Amino acid sequence: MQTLFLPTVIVLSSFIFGLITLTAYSLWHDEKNRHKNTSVTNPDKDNLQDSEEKAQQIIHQAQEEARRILAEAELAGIRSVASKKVNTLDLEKSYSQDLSALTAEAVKELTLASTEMKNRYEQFVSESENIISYHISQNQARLDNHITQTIEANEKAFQTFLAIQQKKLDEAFAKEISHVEALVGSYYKKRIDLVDTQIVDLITQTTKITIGKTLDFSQHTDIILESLEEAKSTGFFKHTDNAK
Amino acid sequence: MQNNINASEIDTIVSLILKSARTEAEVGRVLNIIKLFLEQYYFVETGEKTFEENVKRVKDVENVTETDLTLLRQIHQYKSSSFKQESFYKALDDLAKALYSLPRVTLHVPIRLDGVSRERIGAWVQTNISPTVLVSIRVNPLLVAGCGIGWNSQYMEFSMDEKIKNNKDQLFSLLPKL
Repeated sequence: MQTLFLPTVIVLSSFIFGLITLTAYSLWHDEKNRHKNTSVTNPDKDNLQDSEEKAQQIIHQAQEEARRILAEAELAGIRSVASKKVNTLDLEKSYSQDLSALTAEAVKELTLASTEMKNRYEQFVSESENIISYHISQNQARLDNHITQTIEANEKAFQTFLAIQQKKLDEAFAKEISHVEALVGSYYKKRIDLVDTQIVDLITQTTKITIGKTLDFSQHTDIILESLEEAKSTGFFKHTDNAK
Repeated sequence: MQNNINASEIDTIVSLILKSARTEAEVGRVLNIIKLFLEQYYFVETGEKTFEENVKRVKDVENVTETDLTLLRQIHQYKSSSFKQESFYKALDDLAKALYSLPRVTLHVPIRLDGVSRERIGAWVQTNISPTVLVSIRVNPLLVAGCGIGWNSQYMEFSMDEKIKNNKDQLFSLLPKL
Protein backbone atom coordinates (compact mmCIF):
# COMPACT_ATOMS: atom_id res chain seq x y z
CA MET A 1 0.00 0.00 0.00
CA GLN A 2 2.89 2.36 0.81
CA THR A 3 4.47 1.55 -2.50
CA LEU A 4 1.32 2.71 -4.35
CA PHE A 5 0.78 5.88 -2.36
CA LEU A 6 3.95 7.72 -3.42
CA PRO A 7 3.50 7.52 -7.20
CA THR A 8 -0.10 8.51 -6.78
CA VAL A 9 0.89 11.68 -4.96
CA ILE A 10 3.50 12.49 -7.58
CA VAL A 11 1.10 11.96 -10.45
CA LEU A 12 -1.56 13.99 -8.71
CA SER A 13 0.94 16.83 -8.05
CA SER A 14 2.08 16.78 -11.66
CA PHE A 15 -1.53 16.85 -12.81
CA ILE A 16 -2.29 19.85 -10.61
CA PHE A 17 0.90 21.54 -11.76
CA GLY A 18 -0.05 20.91 -15.39
CA LEU A 19 -3.58 22.18 -14.80
CA ILE A 20 -2.31 25.35 -13.24
CA THR A 21 0.22 25.87 -16.05
CA LEU A 22 -2.50 25.23 -18.62
CA THR A 23 -4.82 27.72 -16.90
CA ALA A 24 -2.10 30.34 -16.75
CA TYR A 25 -1.24 29.78 -20.37
CA SER A 26 -4.89 30.10 -21.32
CA LEU A 27 -5.26 33.34 -19.49
CA TRP A 28 -2.09 34.64 -21.06
CA HIS A 29 -3.29 33.64 -24.52
CA ASP A 30 -6.68 35.31 -24.05
CA GLU A 31 -5.02 38.50 -22.86
CA LYS A 32 -2.68 38.45 -25.83
CA ASN A 33 -5.53 38.07 -28.33
CA ARG A 34 -7.46 40.79 -26.68
CA HIS A 35 -4.41 42.99 -26.77
CA LYS A 36 -3.85 42.21 -30.52
CA ASN A 37 -7.39 43.25 -31.22
CA THR A 38 -6.88 46.47 -29.39
CA SER A 39 -3.36 47.35 -30.61
CA VAL A 40 -4.71 49.51 -33.27
CA THR A 41 -4.84 52.21 -30.82
CA ASN A 42 -2.04 53.39 -28.59
CA PRO A 43 -4.19 54.10 -25.58
CA ASP A 44 -4.74 50.42 -25.19
CA LYS A 45 -1.01 49.70 -25.40
CA ASP A 46 -0.49 50.32 -21.83
CA ASN A 47 -3.43 48.25 -20.80
CA LEU A 48 -2.09 45.43 -22.87
CA GLN A 49 1.20 45.67 -21.18
CA ASP A 50 -0.45 45.72 -17.86
CA SER A 51 -2.46 42.78 -18.71
CA GLU A 52 0.59 41.00 -19.94
CA GLU A 53 2.38 41.75 -16.77
CA LYS A 54 -0.59 40.59 -14.81
CA ALA A 55 -0.70 37.53 -16.81
CA GLN A 56 2.94 36.97 -16.21
CA GLN A 57 2.33 37.55 -12.62
CA ILE A 58 -0.60 35.22 -12.54
CA ILE A 59 1.44 32.58 -14.27
CA HIS A 60 4.22 33.15 -11.90
CA GLN A 61 1.91 32.91 -8.99
CA ALA A 62 0.35 29.91 -10.44
CA GLN A 63 3.70 28.35 -10.89
CA GLU A 64 4.65 29.24 -7.39
CA GLU A 65 1.42 27.83 -6.14
CA ALA A 66 1.97 24.77 -8.21
CA ARG A 67 5.48 24.36 -6.87
CA ARG A 68 4.20 24.83 -3.36
CA ILE A 69 1.46 22.34 -3.86
CA LEU A 70 3.92 20.03 -5.45
CA ALA A 71 6.36 20.49 -2.62
CA GLU A 72 3.63 19.89 -0.11
CA ALA A 73 2.48 16.97 -2.03
CA GLU A 74 5.97 15.59 -2.11
CA LEU A 75 6.33 16.25 1.55
CA ALA A 76 3.01 14.65 2.23
CA GLY A 77 4.09 11.79 0.07
CA ILE A 78 7.38 11.51 1.81
CA ARG A 79 5.66 11.63 5.16
CA SER A 80 3.17 9.14 4.04
CA VAL A 81 5.89 6.92 2.67
CA ALA A 82 7.85 7.31 5.86
CA SER A 83 4.79 6.58 7.86
CA LYS A 84 3.95 3.63 5.71
CA LYS A 85 7.55 2.49 5.93
CA VAL A 86 7.32 2.61 9.66
CA ASN A 87 4.04 0.72 9.53
CA THR A 88 5.59 -1.80 7.17
CA LEU A 89 8.48 -2.37 9.52
CA ASP A 90 6.04 -2.75 12.36
CA LEU A 91 4.00 -5.07 10.26
CA GLU A 92 7.05 -7.10 9.32
CA LYS A 93 8.14 -7.19 12.90
CA SER A 94 4.66 -8.17 14.02
CA TYR A 95 4.44 -10.64 11.23
CA SER A 96 7.81 -12.05 12.15
CA GLN A 97 6.79 -12.25 15.75
CA ASP A 98 3.47 -13.76 14.88
CA LEU A 99 5.14 -16.14 12.47
CA SER A 100 7.69 -17.12 15.12
CA ALA A 101 4.94 -17.54 17.64
CA LEU A 102 2.84 -19.43 15.12
CA THR A 103 5.82 -21.55 14.12
CA ALA A 104 6.61 -22.23 17.75
CA GLU A 105 2.94 -23.06 18.32
CA ALA A 106 2.91 -25.26 15.23
CA VAL A 107 6.10 -26.99 16.34
CA LYS A 108 4.58 -27.40 19.75
CA GLU A 109 1.35 -28.73 18.26
CA LEU A 110 3.26 -30.96 15.89
CA THR A 111 5.41 -32.21 18.74
CA LEU A 112 2.32 -32.88 20.78
CA ALA A 113 0.61 -34.53 17.83
CA SER A 114 3.69 -36.57 17.10
CA THR A 115 3.99 -37.58 20.71
CA GLU A 116 0.29 -38.40 20.81
CA MET A 117 0.58 -40.33 17.61
CA LYS A 118 3.63 -42.14 18.88
CA ASN A 119 1.87 -42.95 22.13
CA ARG A 120 -1.25 -44.09 20.32
CA TYR A 121 0.82 -46.14 17.89
CA GLU A 122 2.75 -47.74 20.73
CA GLN A 123 -0.54 -48.42 22.47
CA PHE A 124 -1.99 -49.84 19.27
CA VAL A 125 1.08 -51.99 18.77
CA SER A 126 0.93 -53.12 22.35
CA GLU A 127 -2.78 -53.88 22.13
CA SER A 128 -2.27 -55.61 18.80
CA GLU A 129 0.52 -57.67 20.30
CA ASN A 130 -1.74 -58.59 23.16
CA ILE A 131 -4.63 -59.47 20.85
CA ILE A 132 -2.40 -61.44 18.49
CA SER A 133 -0.72 -63.16 21.39
CA TYR A 134 -4.14 -63.97 22.84
CA HIS A 135 -5.38 -65.35 19.53
CA ILE A 136 -2.16 -67.27 18.98
CA SER A 137 -2.45 -68.82 22.41
CA GLN A 138 -6.15 -69.59 21.80
CA ASN A 139 -5.41 -71.11 18.41
CA GLN A 140 -2.47 -73.01 19.83
CA ALA A 141 -4.67 -74.38 22.58
CA ARG A 142 -7.41 -75.22 20.07
CA LEU A 143 -4.87 -76.83 17.74
CA ASP A 144 -3.34 -78.79 20.60
CA ASN A 145 -6.78 -79.93 21.64
CA HIS A 146 -7.68 -80.88 18.08
CA ILE A 147 -4.39 -82.73 17.58
CA THR A 148 -4.88 -84.54 20.86
CA GLN A 149 -8.41 -85.56 19.89
CA THR A 150 -7.21 -86.63 16.44
CA ILE A 151 -4.40 -88.69 17.90
CA GLU A 152 -6.76 -90.31 20.37
CA ALA A 153 -9.27 -91.06 17.60
CA ASN A 154 -6.50 -92.46 15.41
CA GLU A 155 -5.19 -94.58 18.24
CA LYS A 156 -8.68 -95.88 18.90
CA ALA A 157 -9.27 -96.58 15.21
CA PHE A 158 -5.87 -98.23 14.94
CA GLN A 159 -6.60 -100.40 17.98
CA THR A 160 -9.93 -101.38 16.45
CA PHE A 161 -8.23 -102.07 13.11
CA LEU A 162 -5.59 -104.16 14.85
CA ALA A 163 -8.24 -106.11 16.71
CA ILE A 164 -10.18 -106.76 13.50
CA GLN A 165 -7.05 -107.71 11.62
CA GLN A 166 -5.96 -109.96 14.47
CA LYS A 167 -9.36 -111.63 14.43
CA LYS A 168 -9.24 -112.02 10.64
CA LEU A 169 -5.69 -113.31 10.87
CA ASP A 170 -6.69 -115.82 13.53
CA GLU A 171 -9.64 -116.94 11.46
CA ALA A 172 -7.58 -117.14 8.28
CA PHE A 173 -4.83 -118.96 10.14
CA ALA A 174 -7.31 -121.42 11.64
CA LYS A 175 -8.93 -121.87 8.24
CA GLU A 176 -5.55 -122.36 6.62
CA ILE A 177 -4.54 -124.83 9.31
CA SER A 178 -7.80 -126.68 8.80
CA HIS A 179 -7.28 -126.60 5.05
CA VAL A 180 -3.72 -127.84 5.41
CA GLU A 181 -4.87 -130.56 7.76
CA ALA A 182 -7.54 -131.53 5.24
CA LEU A 183 -4.94 -131.47 2.47
CA VAL A 184 -2.55 -133.55 4.52
CA GLY A 185 -5.35 -135.95 5.40
CA SER A 186 -6.42 -136.11 1.77
CA TYR A 187 -2.84 -136.57 0.66
CA TYR A 188 -2.33 -139.26 3.28
CA LYS A 189 -5.51 -141.01 2.18
CA LYS A 190 -4.52 -140.71 -1.47
CA ARG A 191 -1.11 -142.13 -0.73
CA ILE A 192 -2.64 -144.94 1.25
CA ASP A 193 -5.15 -145.56 -1.52
CA LEU A 194 -2.31 -145.47 -4.02
CA VAL A 195 -0.38 -147.98 -1.95
CA ASP A 196 -3.52 -150.09 -1.70
CA THR A 197 -4.05 -149.80 -5.44
CA GLN A 198 -0.48 -150.74 -6.06
CA ILE A 199 -0.86 -153.72 -3.76
CA VAL A 200 -4.06 -154.68 -5.53
CA ASP A 201 -2.33 -154.24 -8.87
CA LEU A 202 0.53 -156.33 -7.61
CA ILE A 203 -1.84 -159.05 -6.53
CA THR A 204 -3.81 -158.70 -9.76
CA GLN A 205 -0.73 -158.90 -11.91
CA THR A 206 0.52 -161.83 -9.91
CA THR A 207 -2.86 -163.52 -10.24
CA LYS A 208 -3.02 -162.67 -13.92
CA ILE A 209 0.42 -164.09 -14.57
CA THR A 210 -0.42 -167.15 -12.54
CA ILE A 211 -3.87 -167.66 -14.06
CA GLY A 212 -2.70 -166.82 -17.57
CA LYS A 213 -0.17 -169.57 -17.33
CA THR A 214 -2.46 -172.05 -15.69
CA LEU A 215 -6.00 -171.57 -17.11
CA ASP A 216 -6.98 -172.97 -20.50
CA PHE A 217 -9.96 -172.07 -22.67
CA SER A 218 -12.18 -174.58 -20.95
CA GLN A 219 -11.36 -173.31 -17.48
CA HIS A 220 -11.84 -169.68 -18.59
CA THR A 221 -15.18 -170.68 -20.09
CA ASP A 222 -16.15 -172.44 -16.87
CA ILE A 223 -15.40 -169.28 -14.90
CA ILE A 224 -17.37 -167.17 -17.43
CA LEU A 225 -20.32 -169.50 -17.17
CA GLU A 226 -20.08 -169.32 -13.37
CA SER A 227 -20.16 -165.54 -13.68
CA LEU A 228 -23.23 -165.75 -15.91
CA GLU A 229 -24.91 -168.05 -13.40
CA GLU A 230 -24.05 -165.59 -10.62
CA ALA A 231 -25.51 -162.74 -12.65
CA LYS A 232 -28.63 -164.74 -13.29
CA SER A 233 -28.94 -165.52 -9.59
CA THR A 234 -28.87 -161.82 -8.78
CA GLY A 235 -31.76 -161.24 -11.19
CA PHE A 236 -29.59 -159.26 -13.60
CA PHE A 237 -31.22 -160.85 -16.65
CA LYS A 238 -34.75 -160.15 -15.44
CA HIS A 239 -34.43 -156.85 -17.23
CA THR A 240 -35.30 -158.43 -20.51
CA ASP A 241 -37.04 -155.49 -22.14
CA ASN A 242 -35.09 -155.84 -25.35
CA ALA A 243 -35.34 -159.62 -25.48
CA LYS A 244 -37.85 -161.01 -27.91
CA MET B 1 -41.18 -157.99 -60.39
CA GLN B 2 -38.93 -159.19 -57.54
CA ASN B 3 -40.24 -161.62 -54.96
CA ASN B 4 -38.95 -160.40 -51.53
CA ILE B 5 -38.48 -162.82 -48.68
CA ASN B 6 -41.47 -162.74 -46.31
CA ALA B 7 -41.41 -162.40 -42.51
CA SER B 8 -42.24 -166.01 -41.88
CA GLU B 9 -39.36 -167.21 -44.01
CA ILE B 10 -37.06 -164.72 -42.25
CA ASP B 11 -38.07 -166.03 -38.81
CA THR B 12 -37.47 -169.59 -39.95
CA ILE B 13 -34.06 -168.84 -41.41
CA VAL B 14 -33.10 -166.70 -38.36
CA SER B 15 -33.91 -169.61 -36.09
CA LEU B 16 -31.77 -171.87 -38.24
CA ILE B 17 -28.89 -169.39 -38.25
CA LEU B 18 -29.09 -168.94 -34.45
CA LYS B 19 -28.58 -172.69 -34.08
CA SER B 20 -25.40 -172.40 -36.09
CA ALA B 21 -24.27 -168.92 -35.03
CA ARG B 22 -24.77 -167.71 -31.46
CA THR B 23 -22.45 -164.71 -31.52
CA GLU B 24 -22.29 -161.59 -33.72
CA ALA B 25 -19.09 -162.81 -35.32
CA GLU B 26 -20.63 -166.19 -36.09
CA VAL B 27 -23.68 -164.52 -37.61
CA GLY B 28 -21.45 -162.57 -39.96
CA ARG B 29 -19.59 -165.73 -40.88
CA VAL B 30 -22.79 -167.63 -41.62
CA LEU B 31 -24.25 -164.80 -43.71
CA ASN B 32 -21.03 -164.78 -45.74
CA ILE B 33 -21.31 -168.57 -46.29
CA ILE B 34 -24.89 -168.16 -47.53
CA LYS B 35 -23.83 -165.36 -49.87
CA LEU B 36 -20.92 -167.39 -51.25
CA PHE B 37 -23.19 -170.38 -51.68
CA LEU B 38 -25.79 -168.46 -53.64
CA GLU B 39 -23.22 -166.60 -55.76
CA GLN B 40 -21.64 -169.95 -56.58
CA TYR B 41 -24.99 -171.27 -57.56
CA TYR B 42 -26.10 -168.33 -59.69
CA PHE B 43 -23.01 -166.64 -61.11
CA VAL B 44 -20.27 -169.25 -61.57
CA GLU B 45 -20.98 -170.97 -64.88
CA THR B 46 -19.49 -174.38 -64.64
CA GLY B 47 -22.40 -176.30 -66.00
CA GLU B 48 -25.05 -177.91 -63.92
CA LYS B 49 -23.82 -178.08 -60.32
CA THR B 50 -24.96 -180.22 -57.47
CA PHE B 51 -25.46 -178.99 -53.89
CA GLU B 52 -22.36 -180.76 -52.77
CA GLU B 53 -20.31 -179.19 -55.56
CA ASN B 54 -21.36 -175.70 -54.50
CA VAL B 55 -20.72 -176.44 -50.83
CA LYS B 56 -17.31 -177.76 -51.70
CA ARG B 57 -16.42 -174.45 -53.35
CA VAL B 58 -17.65 -172.54 -50.29
CA LYS B 59 -15.58 -174.73 -48.04
CA ASP B 60 -12.54 -173.56 -49.95
CA VAL B 61 -13.18 -170.06 -48.53
CA GLU B 62 -14.95 -170.58 -45.19
CA ASN B 63 -14.96 -173.20 -42.48
CA VAL B 64 -18.34 -174.92 -42.89
CA THR B 65 -19.72 -176.99 -40.00
CA GLU B 66 -22.44 -179.61 -40.04
CA THR B 67 -24.85 -177.08 -38.67
CA ASP B 68 -23.91 -174.79 -41.51
CA LEU B 69 -24.63 -177.56 -43.98
CA THR B 70 -28.08 -178.03 -42.53
CA LEU B 71 -28.66 -174.32 -42.92
CA LEU B 72 -27.42 -174.34 -46.52
CA ARG B 73 -29.75 -177.21 -47.40
CA GLN B 74 -32.62 -175.12 -46.11
CA ILE B 75 -31.43 -172.15 -48.15
CA HIS B 76 -31.16 -174.46 -51.15
CA GLN B 77 -34.84 -175.26 -50.74
CA TYR B 78 -35.77 -171.61 -50.53
CA LYS B 79 -33.63 -170.54 -53.51
CA SER B 80 -36.42 -171.11 -55.99
CA SER B 81 -38.79 -168.85 -54.00
CA SER B 82 -37.07 -166.34 -51.63
CA PHE B 83 -33.45 -166.46 -52.83
CA LYS B 84 -33.86 -166.10 -56.57
CA GLN B 85 -30.97 -164.87 -58.64
CA GLU B 86 -32.46 -161.42 -59.13
CA SER B 87 -33.39 -160.88 -55.47
CA PHE B 88 -31.12 -162.83 -53.13
CA TYR B 89 -28.91 -159.86 -52.26
CA LYS B 90 -31.98 -157.98 -51.10
CA ALA B 91 -33.10 -161.09 -49.21
CA LEU B 92 -29.68 -161.33 -47.53
CA ASP B 93 -29.88 -157.68 -46.51
CA ASP B 94 -33.31 -158.23 -44.95
CA LEU B 95 -31.98 -161.28 -43.18
CA ALA B 96 -28.94 -159.39 -41.83
CA LYS B 97 -31.17 -156.57 -40.57
CA ALA B 98 -33.39 -159.05 -38.79
CA LEU B 99 -30.40 -160.78 -37.19
CA TYR B 100 -28.60 -157.64 -36.08
CA SER B 101 -31.76 -156.19 -34.60
CA LEU B 102 -32.05 -159.09 -32.18
CA PRO B 103 -31.36 -158.37 -28.48
CA ARG B 104 -27.83 -159.13 -27.50
CA VAL B 105 -25.83 -159.67 -24.36
CA THR B 106 -22.30 -158.28 -24.37
CA LEU B 107 -19.62 -160.30 -22.64
CA HIS B 108 -16.24 -158.75 -21.79
CA VAL B 109 -13.82 -161.64 -21.46
CA PRO B 110 -10.07 -161.71 -20.64
CA ILE B 111 -8.95 -163.87 -23.60
CA ARG B 112 -9.94 -164.57 -27.18
CA LEU B 113 -12.16 -167.63 -26.85
CA ASP B 114 -12.11 -170.58 -29.19
CA GLY B 115 -15.17 -171.90 -31.08
CA VAL B 116 -16.03 -174.49 -28.50
CA SER B 117 -16.03 -171.94 -25.72
CA ARG B 118 -18.16 -169.54 -27.77
CA GLU B 119 -20.58 -172.36 -28.53
CA ARG B 120 -20.88 -173.26 -24.84
CA ILE B 121 -21.47 -169.69 -23.82
CA GLY B 122 -23.96 -169.07 -26.66
CA ALA B 123 -25.89 -172.18 -25.76
CA TRP B 124 -26.06 -171.07 -22.13
CA VAL B 125 -27.31 -167.64 -23.13
CA GLN B 126 -29.99 -168.95 -25.50
CA THR B 127 -31.06 -171.50 -22.92
CA ASN B 128 -31.10 -169.28 -19.85
CA ILE B 129 -31.98 -165.86 -21.25
CA SER B 130 -33.78 -166.22 -24.59
CA PRO B 131 -33.41 -168.38 -27.76
CA THR B 132 -33.33 -165.23 -29.87
CA VAL B 133 -30.47 -163.47 -28.11
CA LEU B 134 -27.13 -162.86 -29.77
CA VAL B 135 -23.87 -162.79 -27.84
CA SER B 136 -21.35 -160.02 -28.49
CA ILE B 137 -17.90 -160.87 -27.19
CA ARG B 138 -15.27 -158.20 -26.42
CA VAL B 139 -11.76 -159.02 -25.21
CA ASN B 140 -10.35 -157.11 -22.19
CA PRO B 141 -7.16 -158.67 -20.79
CA LEU B 142 -7.31 -156.51 -17.64
CA LEU B 143 -10.19 -158.61 -16.36
CA VAL B 144 -7.75 -161.51 -15.69
CA ALA B 145 -10.56 -164.05 -15.36
CA GLY B 146 -14.35 -164.17 -15.30
CA CYS B 147 -16.26 -161.62 -17.36
CA GLY B 148 -18.18 -158.35 -17.47
CA ILE B 149 -21.77 -158.54 -18.63
CA GLY B 150 -23.67 -155.83 -20.47
CA TRP B 151 -27.40 -156.34 -20.76
CA ASN B 152 -30.23 -153.98 -21.44
CA SER B 153 -28.06 -150.86 -20.94
CA GLN B 154 -26.69 -152.17 -17.62
CA TYR B 155 -23.27 -153.55 -16.78
CA MET B 156 -22.07 -155.95 -14.09
CA GLU B 157 -18.56 -157.23 -13.64
CA PHE B 158 -17.75 -160.66 -12.33
CA SER B 159 -14.05 -160.55 -13.18
CA MET B 160 -11.13 -161.61 -11.03
CA ASP B 161 -9.97 -157.99 -11.00
CA GLU B 162 -13.29 -156.88 -9.51
CA LYS B 163 -13.29 -159.73 -7.01
CA ILE B 164 -9.80 -158.77 -5.83
CA LYS B 165 -10.88 -155.15 -5.40
CA ASN B 166 -14.01 -156.18 -3.54
CA ASN B 167 -12.03 -158.41 -1.23
CA LYS B 168 -9.17 -155.98 -0.75
CA ASP B 169 -9.54 -155.77 3.02
CA GLN B 170 -9.51 -159.50 3.34
CA LEU B 171 -6.39 -159.65 1.20
CA PHE B 172 -4.71 -156.96 3.31
CA SER B 173 -5.52 -158.87 6.46
CA LEU B 174 -3.45 -161.66 5.01
CA LEU B 175 -0.42 -159.45 4.33
CA PRO B 176 1.09 -159.51 7.87
CA LYS B 177 1.00 -163.25 7.71
CA LEU B 178 3.12 -163.26 4.57
